[in-house]
Parts: sequence; structure tokens; C-alpha cells
Amino acid sequence: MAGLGSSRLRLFAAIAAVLIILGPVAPRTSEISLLKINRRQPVTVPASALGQMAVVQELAECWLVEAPPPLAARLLAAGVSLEVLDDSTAGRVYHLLFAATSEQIALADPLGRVVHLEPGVGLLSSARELSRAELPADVAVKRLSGTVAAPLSFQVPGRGTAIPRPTADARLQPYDPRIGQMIAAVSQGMLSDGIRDLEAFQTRYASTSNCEAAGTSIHSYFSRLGLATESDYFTFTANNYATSNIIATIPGQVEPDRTVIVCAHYDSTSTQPATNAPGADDNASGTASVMEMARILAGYQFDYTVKFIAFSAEEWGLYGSRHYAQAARQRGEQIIGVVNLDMIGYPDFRPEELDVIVDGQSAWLGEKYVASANAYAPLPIIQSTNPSARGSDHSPFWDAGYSALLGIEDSPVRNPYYHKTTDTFGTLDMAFATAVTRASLAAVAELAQPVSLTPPPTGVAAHSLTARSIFTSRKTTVITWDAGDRNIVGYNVYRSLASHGAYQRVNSSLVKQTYYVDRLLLPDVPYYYVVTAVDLQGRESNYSVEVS
Amino acid sequence: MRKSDSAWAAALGAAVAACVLTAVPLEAQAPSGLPRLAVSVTAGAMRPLEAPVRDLYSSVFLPVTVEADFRLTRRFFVFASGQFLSQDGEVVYDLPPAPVERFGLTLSTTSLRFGVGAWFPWGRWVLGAAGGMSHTRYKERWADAEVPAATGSAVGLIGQGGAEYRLSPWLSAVGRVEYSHVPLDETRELVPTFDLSGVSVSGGVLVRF
Repeated sequence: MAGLGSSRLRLFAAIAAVLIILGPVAPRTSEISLLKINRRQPVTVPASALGQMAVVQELAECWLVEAPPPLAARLLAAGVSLEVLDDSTAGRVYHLLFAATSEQIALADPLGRVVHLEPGVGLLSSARELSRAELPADVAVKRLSGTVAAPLSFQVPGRGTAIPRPTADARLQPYDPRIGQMIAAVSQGMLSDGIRDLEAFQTRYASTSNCEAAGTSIHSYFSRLGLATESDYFTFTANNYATSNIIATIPGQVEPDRTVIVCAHYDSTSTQPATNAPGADDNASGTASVMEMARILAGYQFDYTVKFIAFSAEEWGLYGSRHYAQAARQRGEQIIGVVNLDMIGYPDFRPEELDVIVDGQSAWLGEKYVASANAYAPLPIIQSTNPSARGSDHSPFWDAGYSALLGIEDSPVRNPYYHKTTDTFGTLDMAFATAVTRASLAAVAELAQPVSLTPPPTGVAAHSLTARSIFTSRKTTVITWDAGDRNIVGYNVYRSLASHGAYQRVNSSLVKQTYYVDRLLLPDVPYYYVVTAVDLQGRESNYSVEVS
Repeated sequence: MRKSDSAWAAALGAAVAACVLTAVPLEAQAPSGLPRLAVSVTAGAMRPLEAPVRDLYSSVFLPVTVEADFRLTRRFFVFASGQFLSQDGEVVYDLPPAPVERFGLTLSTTSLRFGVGAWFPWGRWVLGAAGGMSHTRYKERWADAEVPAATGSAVGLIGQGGAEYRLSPWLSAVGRVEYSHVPLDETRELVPTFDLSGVSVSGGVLVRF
């Protein structure tokens, strides 16, 4: 018996030893940590880790990312420069605070824990919801919620790409002489008149009757052009004041549900806002530019809808644009891109350069703007990605998940008359403002696409399937579209690695069927497709809607 | 890889080994006159433990193993072996309206193993158990596709139990049950990889020198 007992003991010991060596399956956790990841440092992370991370905010120097706690340790081990801001986000409410100084951000200290993320940006973590009235008045606030489409530009280990990168000389669209005609129609005189007319209201400070009169004037101008025009009323500062955005529309002929927006705020401010705020540069210049574009584009038809919007109450805290962008998100408006012009007339030196500012998700739009300007109306442009630039009407569109850019003479502002009673027409360089208007018109027209003789394919969709072997994963994408009319003899499919980027044709000969298979692509790389139709005369249509 | 699978397989191997170690009486152990060196060639069937591996390739892989055993003492020996495997599979893309597309796969592995074991002659039978480490080099290729071949290596563990029937003083028939644990480092690849662990049954001949 003793020998038998000893044998069983050794058997159990052997089994136990094996199980201990193999180790138990680690318990899974549903907790989520909030991480600050330094985006300046190039790092390499496993692709599998990217799928577990959700970007909740992109800033100039960092990303705020939600991830399971064990992933933070893995990222640290992989050499990622990160800081754990909160071990668990459960029960926490986060507000981003934007201000000129860290002292202004520190005013929020009594409300919770404030972490300074980068110059001018703080994160307030509180245990309860906070009203706007509780938060510091001089600080721009954004409540963190959901995720954003900010691209994490980590380096992912791979075996090289099978897809050739677009070459630098790849064209966005063939040169369109109609856009050339539009550019030629931009009138410096009309633009000047527009600025002077707005300045003549003496003040356009939102909450004043003069501001409302300016809005009425803009409404009338759009209406006289034959554009469908509406006043989009809203209240601001706890419903104390009411004002309206003025919206004029050119309906799209092919995909009317997709919209290109060009906008500017028409309200102004100064040291005497109620009585004397001429705001010639800020922002009669941008508003007059939008009005001039409307005058010209009203005579054309486009594939996509074009909206010209003059926002109000920007100077009070981006109320007009936030009202519009949030409503657009709620109703599911498909906005292709937003071009926001704010202060485009004052040159701090000549030749002045236009600053084009985007966030990560809008980088394509900035590149498109520059490419369009180079093709049709060249002017010096400095494009920069700065998600922390929140001071104008593009910002609420970023927050709503749309692509938007800010066109501004200088960022930071260098106009010595900024927000003063001396911001008058005489300080402006109208040649520069005209050049910006031409460049912006080119970008808007390229985005909206003047209607072509051959209609582009509709119903374009892409479906992908990622299949894997033991070691390798590859994605195959099928792009489908609706059949065109009898005049269509085939289709071309174009692909880009960046949204609305430099498309390159992927089919070697005309595609006869209504689908195309793009095989064995890298699974972690987004690919963007457009399709064109070719008719019996060999004419190629505009690009279709982009799909990915 | 589900850890519970490997745990059960390892436990099974350990149980077999423990039974052999404890159940065979000492009197039945090897006559001292047997040669010290033995070489065996076996072929068998291996079942991969990872379901996706089975789905991609086959439920049964067919490895061939050449093993050399060297008897250190009356009971214990060391071994070195090489296992070779080549298996075809396919990846399928079904994306209507495009026709179904299939891309052939070939997985080949070469595994070198080293370890120690104990044996227990019992008349014409010899029962044995062994364990050790493996170093596996693998290569996976996609046929007719511009996908780079994946190559690499992995270090793992093996556990064996087996029986030998002596047909003559120098020739035996041999059968083995084996568990091999071949983990792969997921962070080295584009995607988390499966592991190549499996349980196999094999048979062959053994020659003593």
C-alpha cells in the first residue's frame, strides 16, 4: 500500500508540475486605462496592439488613448513613450482645457485633477459631470467622449509593402479648364466691396442688432445669386442671446447628400464691441471671400453639394459653428471637407504666406488644398498639423469627426489691429486676400467636382476580407458599383494610401464588369478607392465617391 | 493556442511517463548486454492543437522523425532527433460578386530535438518515456501570390511515451506518442500567430548498434 500511495503521489506531483509550468490562463479584465502617448517619438508597436487602442483625442504633441491596462505595460516594453493618466476610466469624466497660459488652466484645479498635457492644453478629470458655467470662463473646453479617427502613426513591424507608394507627381485630378475659368472670375474689386460693406455695419458683435443686420445682408446677397439660402438660428451663452448662421447651398447633381463646406464667421469683436468693431481682417475678409466664391460658383453645377456658410458668435466661443457641426453630426450629414477662412487679409510681411492648419484626420484636406492651389492659383502656403489649434470655426468640425482646415494669414496671429477698433480695410493687402480666395475656390471646386459630361459611377462600395495563414495576413478588397448607361464602355479604378490623396490607377485595362478585386493587400493599411466611367468617345468621368 | 489544450496534452504525457516510471518493476529492466546506440526512423500522424491551423492545412499532419538514442546507464538515455514536415493548405477569399479565390499554402518545418529519457525492458518489450527541448525552423509560402514567405524559428518542449518490440537483438519495431509544444512570439509578426503545438502518434523501426 505504501508503494502504491507513493506512486500516486508521484503521478499527481508530475501532473501538478506540468500544469504549474504551463501556467494558468491570465484572468481577463474589462478595465480601461487612459494613456498619454508622445507622438513626437517614432516607435514600433505590434500591429495586434493597435487594435486594442482607441484614440480619444489627438493633440499637437500627444495622443490620448484608451487601452486595457496590460497593454500599457506591453507598449512600455516596446519602447513607446507614454504616461498612464488614469488606471481606470470608470466613473471619470474628462474635459480638455485649452488656454493661452497654464495659469488659466490651473483655475480648474478645484474641480478635479488637472494634468498639463502640452503647452496650452490641460486635462481635467472629475468624478461627476460639470456644467460649462462651473468651468473657467477664459478656457476653451471640450468634453472627451467617444473616439476620433486620428491616425496613430506608429511604425508597425512588417515585411515590406507590396503596394507602391504614390509618386510625388501623381495628380489629384486632371486639370479642369472650368476651374481655371472660375479662378479667373475672382474679382479683387468685388472682394474689396464685400469687406467694406461688412465693415460699414460698424460692429458685427454677436448680440447686437448690427450683427443681425449684417447677417440679413449676407442672406440677401446669397439669395440674389439664386442660391437656396437659410438662416440657421440658435441661442448662445445660456440662451441669453440669439443669432443665426447664414447658409447658402448649391445642390449636388450626382451625390447631393455629400457636402463640401466653405465658411467664415461674420461676427466681430474689439475693445468696444457693442459700438465699434469693424473687423475688416477678422473676419470680414474671410466672409467676403466666401461670398465671392458663392457669386462665381453659383453659375456652375457640381457632383457634390456646396454649402457657403457665414457663422455667427465665433468671437463668443465658436457657438455658431459648434451649433452647426453638432447638428450635422446628429443628422448624419456627409461632409467631405470644410474650408474655414478666418483672417486672410493682413500681411505681416510681403509676400505673405497662407497658413493652412489641419488635424490628423484632415491632413488629406490640407494636402488637397495645397495641390489645388498649386494647380490653379499658386500662392505661398505653409501647411501644418496642429490639432491644438482650436481658435476658429474649423474646430467644432474636428470634434464632430469631420475633416476641416483653417486658412489664416498667420498662426499665431500677428495682426497688430487684431480685436481692436483699428482693424479696418486700409490695413489689408487685397492682393493677398484675392489670392487666398482663388486658392480656396480651386480647392472647393476640386472637392465638389464640376459636373462632367460622363457621369461618374454611383453606388460605389468596398468590401474587404482579411484572411490569414499561420504567419501572414492579407486583405482582399472588392470594389463594386452600379452599372452606367449604354454609352459607358468600361471603368477605371484608382487607389490611394491617403484619403482623397494622389490616386493611382490599379487596373491595367478597362474594367468591363461592375466590380474590381484588389488582392492581397496589407491588412493594417487603409486603402482608398475611387472609380471613373469611360464612355464610347473615350471621355473619362469625374472620380466617384471615395470608398475604403 | 488555448492553454487548456496544451495543459491537458502535457498532463496526459506526464501521466504516461509517471505510470511507466512507477509501474514497471526493477527486475524487468534492461539486461546490461544491449548495445548503447540505437537509431530509429518513424512516420506518423500529428494533430495540431490549434483549430485555425487545422482549418488552414489539415486535421492530420504527417511528420517523419529520425532519432538517435544513446544509453547512459541501465535505465537512462539521451536522444537527439530530427523531425521533418511538409503540409499543403489554402487560404480562401469569398467576396461576391467576385469569384471565390484560393491561394495555396505550404508549411514546412524542421525540428531538432534533444532530451533525456528512461527505458524499461520487459521481456521482448521495452517501454520508455522521454522529454526534452526542440528547436523548430519553419517556412510558410503562399503559392501564386506576391506574398513574402514567412520564416523563423521557435524553441519548444516535447514529451514522449513509447514502446518497442524487439524483433531481434538489433532490430525492433517502435511506436511513440508525443506532445510537442511549439510556441510562437506574436510580437514578431504582423498578426498574432498561432502556435504549432500538436499531439502525434508514430511508428517505425529501430536499429541497435
